[in-house]
Amino acid sequence: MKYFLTSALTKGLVGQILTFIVSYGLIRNFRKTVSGWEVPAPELSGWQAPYDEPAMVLATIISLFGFLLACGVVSDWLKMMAGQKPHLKHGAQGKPEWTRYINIDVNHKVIGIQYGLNSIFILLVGGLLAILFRLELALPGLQFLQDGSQYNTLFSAHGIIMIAAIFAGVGAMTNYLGPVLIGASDMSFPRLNAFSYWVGVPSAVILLAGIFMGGWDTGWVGYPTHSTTTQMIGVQMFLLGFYLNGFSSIASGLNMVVTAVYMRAKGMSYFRMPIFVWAAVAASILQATTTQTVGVALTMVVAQRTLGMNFFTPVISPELLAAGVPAGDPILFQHIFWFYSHPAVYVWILPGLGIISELLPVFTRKPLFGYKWIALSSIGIALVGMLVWAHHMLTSSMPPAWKIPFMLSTLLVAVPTGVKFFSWLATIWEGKMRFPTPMLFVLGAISVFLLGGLSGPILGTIATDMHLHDTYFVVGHFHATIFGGFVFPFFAAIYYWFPKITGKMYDELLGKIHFWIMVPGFWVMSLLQMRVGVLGMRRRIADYGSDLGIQVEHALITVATLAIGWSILIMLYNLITSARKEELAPENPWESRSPEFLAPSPLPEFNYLAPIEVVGEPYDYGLEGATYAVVPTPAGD
Amino acid sequence: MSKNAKHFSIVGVAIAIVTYLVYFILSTFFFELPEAASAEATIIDALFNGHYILIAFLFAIVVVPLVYSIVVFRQQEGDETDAPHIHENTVLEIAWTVLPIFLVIGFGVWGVSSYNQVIASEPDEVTIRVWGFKWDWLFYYPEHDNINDPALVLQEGVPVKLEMQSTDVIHAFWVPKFRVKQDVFPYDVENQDLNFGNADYSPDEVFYEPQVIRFTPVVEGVYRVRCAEICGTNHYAMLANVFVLSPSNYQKWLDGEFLLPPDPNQGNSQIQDGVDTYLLELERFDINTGYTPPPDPFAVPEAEAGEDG
Repeated sequence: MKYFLTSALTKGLVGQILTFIVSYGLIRNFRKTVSGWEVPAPELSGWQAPYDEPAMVLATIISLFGFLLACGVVSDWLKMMAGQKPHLKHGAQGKPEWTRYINIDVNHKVIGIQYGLNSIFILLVGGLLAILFRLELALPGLQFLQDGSQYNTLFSAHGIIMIAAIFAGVGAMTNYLGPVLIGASDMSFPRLNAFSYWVGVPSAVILLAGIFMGGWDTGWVGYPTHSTTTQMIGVQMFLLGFYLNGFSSIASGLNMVVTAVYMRAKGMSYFRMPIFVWAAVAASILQATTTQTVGVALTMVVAQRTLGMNFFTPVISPELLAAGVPAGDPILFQHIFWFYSHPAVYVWILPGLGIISELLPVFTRKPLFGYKWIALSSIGIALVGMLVWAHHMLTSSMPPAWKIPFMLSTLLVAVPTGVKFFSWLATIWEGKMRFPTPMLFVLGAISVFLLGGLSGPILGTIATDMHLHDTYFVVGHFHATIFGGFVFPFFAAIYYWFPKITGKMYDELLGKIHFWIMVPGFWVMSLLQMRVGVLGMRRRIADYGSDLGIQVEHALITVATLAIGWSILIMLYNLITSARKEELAPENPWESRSPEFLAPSPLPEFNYLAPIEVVGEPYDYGLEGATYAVVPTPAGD
Repeated sequence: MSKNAKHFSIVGVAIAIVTYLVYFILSTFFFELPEAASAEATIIDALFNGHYILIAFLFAIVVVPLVYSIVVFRQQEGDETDAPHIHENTVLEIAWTVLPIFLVIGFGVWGVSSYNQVIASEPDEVTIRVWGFKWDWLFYYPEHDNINDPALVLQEGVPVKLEMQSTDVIHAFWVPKFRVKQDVFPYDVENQDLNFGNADYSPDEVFYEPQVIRFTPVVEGVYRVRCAEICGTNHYAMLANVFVLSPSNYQKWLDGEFLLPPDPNQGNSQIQDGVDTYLLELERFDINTGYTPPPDPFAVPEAEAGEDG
């Protein structure tokens, strides 16, 4: 408890809350006393409360600095500015080992685990929100929610909180695995790495606080002019929290690219990197280059709401026009928003697809079929992904002639994605497959990602999208892509590297139960979502009419959602109890050729006892006498 | 090699069977589209059907080899050896990169042509002006003395062009049985003030018709407009009824002889009980004879009035 109360996490949170309260009070008081300004009472609805919106925005921004200064993640940089030369601190600093995970630590494995824990925590919160509104949707009519505003807050928060969780999960995989797989001792910029993680914590706090500070009803897309005019002022917390999460993304993306370029082991050419690293690099390039545009879009909405700059309102009063205020255009936001937010989806799924490609050879005992094609298809998906953004706007007021190029580029995504699928199939064909839990999750991921992939082209052609746009078909489609491309591979990775991370083995039976509840549950949920969408169920609605004849489907979707929730609790129970048991896991339980299994478990502070050397191809299963990497024995051993 | 030929022939036959089965399930039951009540729906449904075939085929060519490998090639008991060392085949890789490109081109061409047919204008189309606002719709009929109504009333078989405009935030016009959807932005369409200060802009440029949707209703009946873009608290209840009437009934409606049910969304007061409120008003409506108002509970029955007199 003593360690917990003095940890960086506690200090940061206390610092954030205190700076928020103090600065909010000061600004609020200043506005009241000095300028004589009084808050107009907003129209109350749902969880709306009469906050002073500009004061809230400014206080939220200040509270970020409160968090960062109090937790100490920037103190090394401040010392450097003051002319000192602080050393990187390694190890637990004389405290128990577990305190490293709630303190500032520069080790990439600690940061990876921190990301992972953060991800699972936020995932649970987002899942809880989903279960709340799924219960509401199980029957037609409004049951326990008071009005549409509460429902809108729930689904909006579910969306953005899950996105934060996914980014944290991607951070967990790239941070923990990236340096280990390329034989490095750490990331290129350890302090920046810690900063990327810790800036995500206050952003998650701000997002969660948005639910209680007014709530917001814009969805995670926050289209103006709704987001610029809504009375639910929690939208500001959503915009700021989203924005801060972007900082984390850009920094960790840069870090990963530089690490993969400069820190590879001796003999590891680009086409000898483990395939996951290719995927992580492709995702990181997207993160580091496109996140800025969504930052611009969010800043513009905050500026329009708070400072009155008109970017998005097309029709304004003649007096304002005469005063020189230009008319805005709401579609501008959609363009810059999706220019990032479409590639963002690939940031989530590319590392997951990399995990699938990484684990398949191990469990089929066969080389990865077409290594170079898979590696380049990741880059291909990333590049094509930057050219398809306006397919989210195929029913918008964009001129018809502009929609057609985006339809064609969208269909083109099928080509590099198809390369991955066919290469996986060729890897599996004639493979002597084994089915421990990680392999089951890999196969589940392929099957679910297939659902997502197959439901894509029908949304890409404009005529069919005119029927399906903004329906539950889209909801089913992207849940399938994200579960297949991120959630299932993430779980596969957790099970697969659990013995590496903790040195203990998870419980195989519980793992299999988790799988056999979650995958069928997900299939039911996703397929039925698509079905009700085809029948006319719109997205983002608190209630649907019984005239659509979809009550049974909705009840089943809710049951499937609950099943998925329970199965994740089973996984957590499994992981927690397994990590605490005495018995040690075998050194290389999967008979993998991957270099991390040459090092002891759990991995030492600098991963390998001596720098490894790559002498062969990574996936030469079935080739007599082939070796991928060797560890020179440390001298004097 | 003959062993491989056996595997491939089994998988090939299974792919054909699974493709047919999945297509059958999707098109007749699982993804069966709602009734096609507009001429455009027929064009769009044909493309849907093409996609269902594609989905069924791609599903089969992935799932069949996957399941076959799991069943046939899986690790046998006691076999700890690795599988054969097959790591690439350039011809195969090029084939499965290039062949999908042809599919992409095919569906691209089909997609463009079907979209062009869906948005094509008809010479005899009727223009109706649509206003979307939080959280209801209003329809103006410029060709009929600008009468307005909270319901969209259409004549069977007559193509319509909806010129839409929002007064506040983005909404989207969607009638599932007509298949067509169009976002409604808060542009000032009526004053053609879309130039955003650009003097070179010409409102006559036909390709820039951002707020227009066209369709031809072909089946008499009652439909529902559903707002498909999140627009705030009562987004879920932003509905309007659509009545597609026969030509004679349409004329009666213009003359005020054909009654429509009152709009349940008026004032947003009744939607707290959910969107099924819309169904209650329709119980007293018949597409052939119109709406029968409920008896006035406060009216004094004629017989009693006679006694009192």
